[in-house]
Amino acid sequence: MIYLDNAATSFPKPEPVYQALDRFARTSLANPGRSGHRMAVRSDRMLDDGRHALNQFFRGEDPDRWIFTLNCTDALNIAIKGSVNPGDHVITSDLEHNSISRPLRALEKAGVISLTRIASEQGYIDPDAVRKALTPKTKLVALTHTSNVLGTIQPIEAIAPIVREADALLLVDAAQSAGVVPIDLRATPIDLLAFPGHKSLYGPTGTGALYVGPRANLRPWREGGTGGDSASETQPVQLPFVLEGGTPNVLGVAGLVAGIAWVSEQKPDVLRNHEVSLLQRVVDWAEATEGWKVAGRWDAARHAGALSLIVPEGFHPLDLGLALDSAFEIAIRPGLHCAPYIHKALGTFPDGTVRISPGPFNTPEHIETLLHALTDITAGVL
Amino acid sequence: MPQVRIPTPLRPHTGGNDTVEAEGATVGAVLGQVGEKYPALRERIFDGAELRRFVNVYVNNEDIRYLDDLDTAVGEKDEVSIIPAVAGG
Amino acid sequence: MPFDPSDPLDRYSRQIRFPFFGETGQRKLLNSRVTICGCGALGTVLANHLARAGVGFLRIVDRDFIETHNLQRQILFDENDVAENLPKAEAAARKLRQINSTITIEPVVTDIDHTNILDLVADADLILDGTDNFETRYLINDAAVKLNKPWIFGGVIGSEGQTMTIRPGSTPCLRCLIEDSPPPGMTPTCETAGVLGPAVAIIASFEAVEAIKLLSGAFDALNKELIMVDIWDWTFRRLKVAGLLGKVDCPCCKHHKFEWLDGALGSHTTALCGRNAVQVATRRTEPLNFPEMAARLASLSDVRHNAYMLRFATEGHEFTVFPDGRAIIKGTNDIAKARTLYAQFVGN
Repeated sequence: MIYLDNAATSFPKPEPVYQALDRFARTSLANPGRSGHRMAVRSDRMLDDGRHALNQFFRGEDPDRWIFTLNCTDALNIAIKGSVNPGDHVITSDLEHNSISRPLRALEKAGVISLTRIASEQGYIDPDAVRKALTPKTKLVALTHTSNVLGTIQPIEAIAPIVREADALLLVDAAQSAGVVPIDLRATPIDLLAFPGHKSLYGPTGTGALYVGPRANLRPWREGGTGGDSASETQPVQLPFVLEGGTPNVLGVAGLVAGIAWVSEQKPDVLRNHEVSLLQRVVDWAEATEGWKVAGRWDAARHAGALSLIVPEGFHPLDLGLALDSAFEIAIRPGLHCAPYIHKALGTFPDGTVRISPGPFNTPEHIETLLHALTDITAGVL
Repeated sequence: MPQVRIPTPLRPHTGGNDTVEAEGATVGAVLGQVGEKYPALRERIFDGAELRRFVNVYVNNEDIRYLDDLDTAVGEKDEVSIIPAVAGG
Repeated sequence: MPFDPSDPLDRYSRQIRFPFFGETGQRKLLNSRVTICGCGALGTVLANHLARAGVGFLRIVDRDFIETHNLQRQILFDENDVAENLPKAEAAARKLRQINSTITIEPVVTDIDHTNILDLVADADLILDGTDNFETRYLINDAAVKLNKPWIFGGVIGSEGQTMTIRPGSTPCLRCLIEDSPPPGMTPTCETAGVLGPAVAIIASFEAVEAIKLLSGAFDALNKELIMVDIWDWTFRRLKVAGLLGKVDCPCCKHHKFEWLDGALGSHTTALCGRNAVQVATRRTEPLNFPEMAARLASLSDVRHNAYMLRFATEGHEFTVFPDGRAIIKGTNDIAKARTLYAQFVGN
């Protein structure tokens, strides 16, 4: 299998991640905190290690501001539903994944919020467009850091001060960037940062995190056991427990901690350059091959490791995806990538595009095999 | 010569013939000769030297799997039938 | 004259007078439970016979909705049912209750798969095959052997049909008879090769009479062979298969490996992101023969293919089939509908 679907989840994981998962599952997998015995303490310490690792990696204010979630969708829902109030205005963009678009659209339809969806240009959000969309009622600006369809990196460092100035909260969806695009929370005023653990941080699926900055005061929407303070009749108010009801995925966090260590050692920039240089070959091929087009503007300096190709007329991305799998054992992601608005803007709705997302373990040979396969598959069937 | 009965779905591979005559002392030999004459038919019923697992062959209403499989002897007046699986309903 | 509840057996008097059946047979029938898997051409004829004959409980399972082209042979349905867009199981139940209000009819609108088959047949004395594909038949076979229940296989295409009565332990099972299902695209289906209503009615009637024998205890009268009928050629054959029991190294009835029931074999469907489309996957190692498939589908549609995919469109759906038997069916998000279309036009 040639796996080029790392934007969905990374595969394979670095070897230390597998080792950490195995070791932790065999020796320490107790319910953290709750029971007080030595295994429970080890388990609790793993969560603590995880919060410290995240806080150092992204330079947050405090380890306790890191909430472990089920995935990025869970983190985004906690952030969105915990922050907006009736009558608030929210700004988002057409690049967003359904994990932002759907909760916001549902709140809008229910009459809770008003919503402005700003249009990207060639895959990039203009900070000025955000500035223009702000109103006195704007409570939240929810934007992706890197488009999961196009791989384009957004100028979040320029946007964040604008949002801060307007006294709104900035929620950044770092699903495609956490681990490959540097994020410095001390330098960039981001209030809420959400990402999965299983993409470019190389943890297992079922992991995610939400950073809750000092200006954000989120209502919990999942209440329950927190491992301590059981006498309290309602959810304890202190972070991280207020937002972490229920037994966390400690095993997943053990894998995530190993993944973050691996990424720190490799350096995010090096990982991104590797992926982008593989994609550069795809871009060159698409530009030289009749019928194929790169979606969005290709700018290697502002791109992460995902690229969408618009397929030749008469072909369906789904068919090409399955043909790649069935005849060549190549995994890519065809379709809309859970981000319908940008496909509408690109004119690729509802068939979508073919998304290629290499990871650290892909090689130039993998890309050559893919390009040969695409050439063969599209020959003669029309 | 033994006769081989061709089921409807396979007749396009025998030029529409519902029976085909072939020489041979065993089922394997008879079907081998039919297959030489009609290679497309051969491909439908054989996978290499073996019968495909969803095709059954009968000699005079008896399944060859409880005679001697492809070594089952056939005589001048025997009838070999290819019985395909019928899907519809 | 309206039905007289004071003599519940009167309505069955003509079959009770048949000496090999009698009142004892009738009472056994009234106390019997039957699951009919599939309510298309075979299933409607089966249900019609058994409801009229007085089988006390009939469960009718089908995933599909009635379409106009069903009316040519699916005898319980009419134009009103098409207009109402009724599920087949529900429409059949309504009709059957008018035919015989004294028995229990349970319609179940569901896609039979390895997760639900045992529940659907566990309380039945007999399982009847009204399906149009081998995947469901192998599932029925696994369930029947596992639960030690009899079932009756029937299949029809064009003008010819086959049927066999399967009693686990006493007769060969379907996997003794046909060791492996034909690969997708290798056999004709009613949709690609056509089918005559009377051919289905004959096979279903054979199944129904075997059901009546089984349920009334007339085991000696049962068919022990594979029946093959071609109503165009006027051929009727009884192929000797009884001896296959124990002779074939059957994974199912000899080794009790229920590969279809366990989900190890059989298809898998996924709704796909981005389009009104479903992927149907089967577990196959042998590549499909595209030129042959194209020839078989040629009468329905313009078929195009290269080595990697074969494409055609019919009845408002676009199909792309891949060499490993997988297919993307566009124009539906409904997994049950996609499985039906796959069985109809690709075949499994």
